[in-house]
Amino acid sequence: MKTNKRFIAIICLLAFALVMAPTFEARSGGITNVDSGCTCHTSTSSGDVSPFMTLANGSALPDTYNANEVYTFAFGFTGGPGDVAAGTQDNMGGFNLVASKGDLASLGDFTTMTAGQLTHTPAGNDQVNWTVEWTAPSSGSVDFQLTVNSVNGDGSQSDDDHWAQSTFSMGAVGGSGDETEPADGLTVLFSALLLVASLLIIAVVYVFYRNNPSAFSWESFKPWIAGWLTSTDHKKVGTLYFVAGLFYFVVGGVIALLMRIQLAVPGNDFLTQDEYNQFFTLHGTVMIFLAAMPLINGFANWIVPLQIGARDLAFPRINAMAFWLNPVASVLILTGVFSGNAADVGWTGYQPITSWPGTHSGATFWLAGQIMLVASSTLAGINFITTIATMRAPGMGWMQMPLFTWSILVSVMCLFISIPAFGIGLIEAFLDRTISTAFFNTSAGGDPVLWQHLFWYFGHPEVYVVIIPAFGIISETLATSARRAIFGYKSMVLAMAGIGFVSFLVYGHHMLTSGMSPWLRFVMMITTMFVAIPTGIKIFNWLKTMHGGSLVYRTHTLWSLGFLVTFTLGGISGMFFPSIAMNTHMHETYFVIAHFHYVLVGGVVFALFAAIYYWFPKMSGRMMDERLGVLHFLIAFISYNGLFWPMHKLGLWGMTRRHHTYFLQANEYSDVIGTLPAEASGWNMFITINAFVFGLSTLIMVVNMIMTLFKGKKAPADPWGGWSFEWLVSSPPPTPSFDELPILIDVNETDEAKPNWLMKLMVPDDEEVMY
Amino acid sequence: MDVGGAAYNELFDIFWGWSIVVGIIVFGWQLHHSFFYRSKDGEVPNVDALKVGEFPRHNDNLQLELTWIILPTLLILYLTFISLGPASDVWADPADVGVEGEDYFEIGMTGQQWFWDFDCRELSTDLCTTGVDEETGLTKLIVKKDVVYRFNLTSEDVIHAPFLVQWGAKEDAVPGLYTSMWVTPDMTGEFFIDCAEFCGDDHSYMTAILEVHV
Repeated sequence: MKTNKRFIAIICLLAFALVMAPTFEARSGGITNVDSGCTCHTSTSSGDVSPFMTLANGSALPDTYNANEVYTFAFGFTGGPGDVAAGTQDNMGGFNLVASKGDLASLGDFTTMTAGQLTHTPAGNDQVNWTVEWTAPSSGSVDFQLTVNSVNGDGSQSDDDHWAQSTFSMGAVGGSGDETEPADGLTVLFSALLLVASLLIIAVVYVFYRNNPSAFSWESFKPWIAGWLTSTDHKKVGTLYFVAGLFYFVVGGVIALLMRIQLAVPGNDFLTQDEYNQFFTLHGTVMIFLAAMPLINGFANWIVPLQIGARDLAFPRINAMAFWLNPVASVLILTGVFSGNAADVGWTGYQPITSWPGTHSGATFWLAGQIMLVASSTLAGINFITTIATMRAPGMGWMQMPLFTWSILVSVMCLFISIPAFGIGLIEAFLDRTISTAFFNTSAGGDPVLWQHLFWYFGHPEVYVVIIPAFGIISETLATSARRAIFGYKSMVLAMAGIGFVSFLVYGHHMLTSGMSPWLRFVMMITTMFVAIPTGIKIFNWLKTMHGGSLVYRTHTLWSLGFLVTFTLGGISGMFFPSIAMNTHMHETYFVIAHFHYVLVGGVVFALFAAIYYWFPKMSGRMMDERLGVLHFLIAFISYNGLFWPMHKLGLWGMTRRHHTYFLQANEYSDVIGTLPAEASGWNMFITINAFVFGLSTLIMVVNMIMTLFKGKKAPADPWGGWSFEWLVSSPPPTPSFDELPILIDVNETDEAKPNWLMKLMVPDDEEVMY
Repeated sequence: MDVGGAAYNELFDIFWGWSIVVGIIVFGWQLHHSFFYRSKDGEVPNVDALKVGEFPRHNDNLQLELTWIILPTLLILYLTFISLGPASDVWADPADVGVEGEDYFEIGMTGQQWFWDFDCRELSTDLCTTGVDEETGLTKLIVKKDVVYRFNLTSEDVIHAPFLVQWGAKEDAVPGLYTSMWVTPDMTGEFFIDCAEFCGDDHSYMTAILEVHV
């Protein structure tokens, strides 16, 4: 009991310290320290000091300003101990001036700019009034916050010293200020985030209501929601993954749209550079780690145990924990946004910029969040590898596993092997930021290229971690649609395993201009070229699968065919990068952006859409609306190509990525050839319009899914005619899914199902296995 | 608009040509199968007799599979082979790659947040002059046409990367490391040097001017 009290007291003290910590840094009602100048003297605010601010000629501050005009202001204070005749006293006063808009510039020796704020120099201490130059912004009302100290001059801190603070305002000419002010990017993002979150909550409550309209009360809602939040059932955890993934898919999409507004015209100022830097960082992190991976995990959770005929995953609790690390991590990753201080380092988090003092504090949280995701992925990896290795139904050898299960196995293997490197890098970067270790600090002998090696050793397999499940999905949907067995099952498995293996040998192609050893660059160039071979096998096998089949057109068929087109295009453009002489031109340009969006959106997202239309009837027990599905496909496929195809050309013209704006040939640097020809501006506008169409088309699918939950036709157990075990159970499957384990029959003459060394290795001896 | 170095343009044309060939094969094949093998309205046949709980009979053809392993491999070997020569151009001393007798000149280039700093070392003013562009306030480097320059890159703070799109030249400037970038300006005029590696707030405006005279 006593220990508890002490414990609570310590926690309270710590909490108090945490709450107080920021206020010590802020201007606590005095003036921030400048050089050896004043340190606020006293915290007593006093009514006898009155700050003033006028134009330099002594006339009063006007109500309005002219856009972009330069003004000179005189300001200072009267009253208090410092208000005595000039020259009679040293150290009479100090000040701090902040303008909400426009640019302040120091005039003369008495003032100086520090961190965007104007303060006095030590020499300026001997004054009671100062002057400043201010360049007006283009629009919006502006507030000047002036803090002054009136000091008695004895050079020590005493209670006789007083301070006061006033705010002076000006509006723009031709507008009453705030109404004409364009919404700033962060505000738009908050509103969108709030809207998405409210929609999510409304959808959850609505789903609950429609489940049982007569029991719509908190008493029955509480156990219902608690059942979801504490469940370890693979289907429920899968659904949670799915909802979280879709939610962040929309969040990442909103961030992307905001960036596209900024880039729609050259020289746009919709987002500040600072906001833009945060947005592209969050777009990358959110889309890869919080949208794509949870969506894949959602399907893996749902489908893998059903496909291999297992009742659940091997470690249900670890599964739930792996999921619940995600929401916590996502909060950490996004925390900075709400104070305008999110990570601004790019999703790759290159060093030393990530450890650089100028980087936002949100980067620390962003690193912490990713460390959690590393833990989550490791747990999920252990779980899936164990499940697939030991819990397959009787009769299912390695080479009778459905291809989606194979793809998940290869993918988690890649993740499991690569992610420790990333975790190490993240922890080193986190320590660099928090306790000033010097892993990446060059002035202390650290090596920034080390981060790139650690990151890309993980980062490249990571790309395959998300694309290989997409291969698995397409193998299932396309074969079922064509009413055929997949062509070359064995070569498909070997190709996936080959891609997984090669992924560890090629990561250096992200670093071909990084100052890495030229010898290593040659090696990476050659290995990267060879990725095309297994990928080519897969594409040709899919095409051959359709041969002699009878293609039944459904929404998932359309998405699969769309995947083949876009993924092939992405694969072809990928062939340009390993060639080093071309890489030096294309690296870090929009050609790269176009390529990886063709692979990650045209590949992964299209496959996930196919998977949603394919497995949603199994998950919900209702058939989705095919007409809305086709509409979604047509709009999305066309706008998608309009969105990303022109980026190839922009990249070749030299438009570099992570730039908040771009320069045309005839631009403000009129003498200079800018990077881009004039038509680049039109293409960027075209891309932005397509981005909005593509983004909005996703809503068709979300609406379709929610409508289907209530109004869809009841789905039969096997609506598409697939062969694997998930189609054996009813839609939606009961819990537990199988009362009695199903037995797989292989219609081929089987001598390969004899236990070989690999099977003996993976299956414990004491377990009785039917081969 | 003519951008990119000679090696880049030459390689790009070859790669682009093969891309079209591969594209025609894959998309032609896909288009044909999508329509030719589509089921008639309302008909859901079961070609391979798929049945739930039964691993379907194998649909293999070793010759075909070997074909599309071997043919792409040959293409890739060819593309790798033609990339090897130009790749060594990117870094090596021209003397090593067969431009014998031709001298090169070294210019120091340092990235800082957020401008480029040039150092002409001991080169004559004809070969290299630094300055500041009066109109834009950007740093400026004036060099001579058709002379081989080796930029010796480093950085004072974080990683930067100069990008000269006209010659397709790009290399990271890494703090604590010296890297090099070879450029032979073959056009006269004023060109734009961009920063291609994200380096903080003013990354987009981290530009400099390269002036090439005869």
